[in-house]
Amino acid sequence: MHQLVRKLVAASVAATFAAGAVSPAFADAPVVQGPESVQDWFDNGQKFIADSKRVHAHPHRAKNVILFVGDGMGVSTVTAARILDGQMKGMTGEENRLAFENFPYLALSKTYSWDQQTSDSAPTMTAMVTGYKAREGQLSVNHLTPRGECSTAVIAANSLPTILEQAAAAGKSTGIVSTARITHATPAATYAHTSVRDWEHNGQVASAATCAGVADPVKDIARQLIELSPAVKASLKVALGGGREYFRANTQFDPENTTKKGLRTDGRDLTAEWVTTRGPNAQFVFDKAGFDAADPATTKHLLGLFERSHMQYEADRNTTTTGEPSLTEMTEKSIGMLKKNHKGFFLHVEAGRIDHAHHAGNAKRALLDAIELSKAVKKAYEMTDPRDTLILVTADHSHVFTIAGYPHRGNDILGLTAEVPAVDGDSPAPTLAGDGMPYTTLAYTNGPGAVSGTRADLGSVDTTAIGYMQQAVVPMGSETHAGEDVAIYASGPRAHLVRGTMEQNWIYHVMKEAFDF
Amino acid sequence: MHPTIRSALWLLLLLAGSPHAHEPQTLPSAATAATAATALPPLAARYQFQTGKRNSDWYLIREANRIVIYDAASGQAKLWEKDVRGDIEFSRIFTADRRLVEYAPGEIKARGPVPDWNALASIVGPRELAGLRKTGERKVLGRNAAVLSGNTAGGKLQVWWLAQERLPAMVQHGQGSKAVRLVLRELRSQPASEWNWAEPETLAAYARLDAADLGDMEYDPFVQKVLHLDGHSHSH
Repeated sequence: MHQLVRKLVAASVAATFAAGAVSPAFADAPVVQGPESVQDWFDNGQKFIADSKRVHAHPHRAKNVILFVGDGMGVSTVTAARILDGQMKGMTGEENRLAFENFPYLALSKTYSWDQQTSDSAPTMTAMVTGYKAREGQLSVNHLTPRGECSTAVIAANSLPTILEQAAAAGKSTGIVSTARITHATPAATYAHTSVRDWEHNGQVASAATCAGVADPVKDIARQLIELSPAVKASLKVALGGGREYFRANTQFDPENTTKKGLRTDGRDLTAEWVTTRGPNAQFVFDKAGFDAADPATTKHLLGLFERSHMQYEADRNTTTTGEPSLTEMTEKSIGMLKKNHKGFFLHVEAGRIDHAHHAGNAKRALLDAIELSKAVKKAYEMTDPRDTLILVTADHSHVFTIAGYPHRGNDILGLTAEVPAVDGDSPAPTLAGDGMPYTTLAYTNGPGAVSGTRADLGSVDTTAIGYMQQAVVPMGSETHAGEDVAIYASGPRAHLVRGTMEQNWIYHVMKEAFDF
Repeated sequence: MHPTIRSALWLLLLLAGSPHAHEPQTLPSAATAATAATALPPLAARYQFQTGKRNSDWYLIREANRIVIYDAASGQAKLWEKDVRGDIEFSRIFTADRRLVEYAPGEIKARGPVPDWNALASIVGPRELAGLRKTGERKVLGRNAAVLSGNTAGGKLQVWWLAQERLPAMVQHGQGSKAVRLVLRELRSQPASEWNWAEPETLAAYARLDAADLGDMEYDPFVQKVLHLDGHSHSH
């Protein structure tokens, strides 16, 4: 063939390939393919630049602030949840985005506490809502507070004002939502002050060694939710989550599980006290039917405690009227109640059980809870105006959860790792590890999934099953937190203040600045 | 591993009923249907657990929605309950510590296969029984028991099976001086009043812990004990 003709043919073939119109006629088509054309990559990049040029900071203050926390939702959890969410929608998954991944501003959050390299939920949430880093296990008190401090006076002297309390003082409405117990560390840090996160009901305070002989022991966390300062009590319109038995006496049967009793030893029914101390149109509900019947337009103060302890994982949630609402439904109802206040509101929403599922080494439950958080964020974004509502989405800490190997595009994120075939036209096959056995893409560094001896052949195991426990390396009864940075996603007024690598306590300062406090 | 220790571990695993123990596992569908169709009579049984020179009492209390297992040697009990939705809840009871750890249905599901109720209530599950061959009969406490023998992973197994009660009168794993045995000593229609380790009145005074919270409390020696009991090794 003449050299010029050869060049023309090659150029023509190249142009055809670039347009994505046809696969090379001289080779088998790759079995693994992304859905994109060649041009799509470039066009998407250009669109990103065009969109970025239109992003401008909203320098004015926020009327409302919503702080979403995915407990234990590290970056690997976000990535895996993104892929799973996409695959559940029929996509290859990697190109998908969770709702908050569309927010324009992003930063990393350094989660160490005053005394921990890898933190627990107490000092991390304290950092986020007070602006100060704190000690292991302590809620909204400064780091001078001794471990186990029981004196009300000392706790009061060391208490750190929270963004919820400050919003209340400014006349805004406030709300707390969690799928964990409402007295658990993350939601509790917004309203309670204590040296021990486990002091959730009075019996736990009374039995503590450091409280022996203390004349005025600190109130338990459940009691602190009921006996708030006048301003916060008036402002806290809605508190939804789990933990009913921490609010009810050990002489009272549970309204749902009527063979079980409450935990309090002081004879008090704090669920009833919520109603009697919040004036007319205050309600306590404990199931989906009660939740659905609570009208945001007319309900002034709503306490919803839907389980004796933590709420169900989203994968297991009973959606009938005897069951419980989803995180998205709780977020929707809360915003419906809070936005009635023309001065605005502060709302905290926690997906509290991503953490628990990771501790159990059960990735699918963790990821489904993370996807539910994304849905809740989407609902919040739809119900509010991005010009007056700052929405932050972050995590308190990460988990030792990994996405490993070289799985091909669209490989089932919950499945065995299978690489891109070396030869176009060949089908992918599970990759074998050094022991000759296949392995899952998802795994944990430590936890209950650790293997003793020889690994079984996972080829005959359904690793995508809801209850599958991913393999781990270091044997531990419970998988642990991880110390790497987590992400902060931000949208709305002064969201541009979320930038770079931030200390976790700077999140509070962003919210404070957004509110102009 | 010493044969006696291996046998003891196998029998303990059979009896374990941990929240994510792989015994008893989810059954093949035929066995599941068979066990589901047959209601288990309520009863209370006291066994003697024998291994080497060690003898201790071991108890089973079986009710329609409640199963209690108590090991006198450790002072620990296990309580399995069906909630209003038919989901299984589990509690570990530590009588010496006066504490209990509760595993909600979702927590059990997150940690592994949901145990088969009938297999828990019968001590020896249908899977194990199906692998044994009848070799005789004998009388135990005035009741007819089928003698079943066979091999399982880990050694010889012999069971004296009370078909009407759906309960073993004797379980022996291993042979001779290295055998581990569970021998029925007392069978009642209801538990004696002092068999109250898992009664609500007893547990009302105990400190309660949600198993979902264990991961945030690994510094606590009691929690470390619980996590050790829950185990961490899996074959897959």
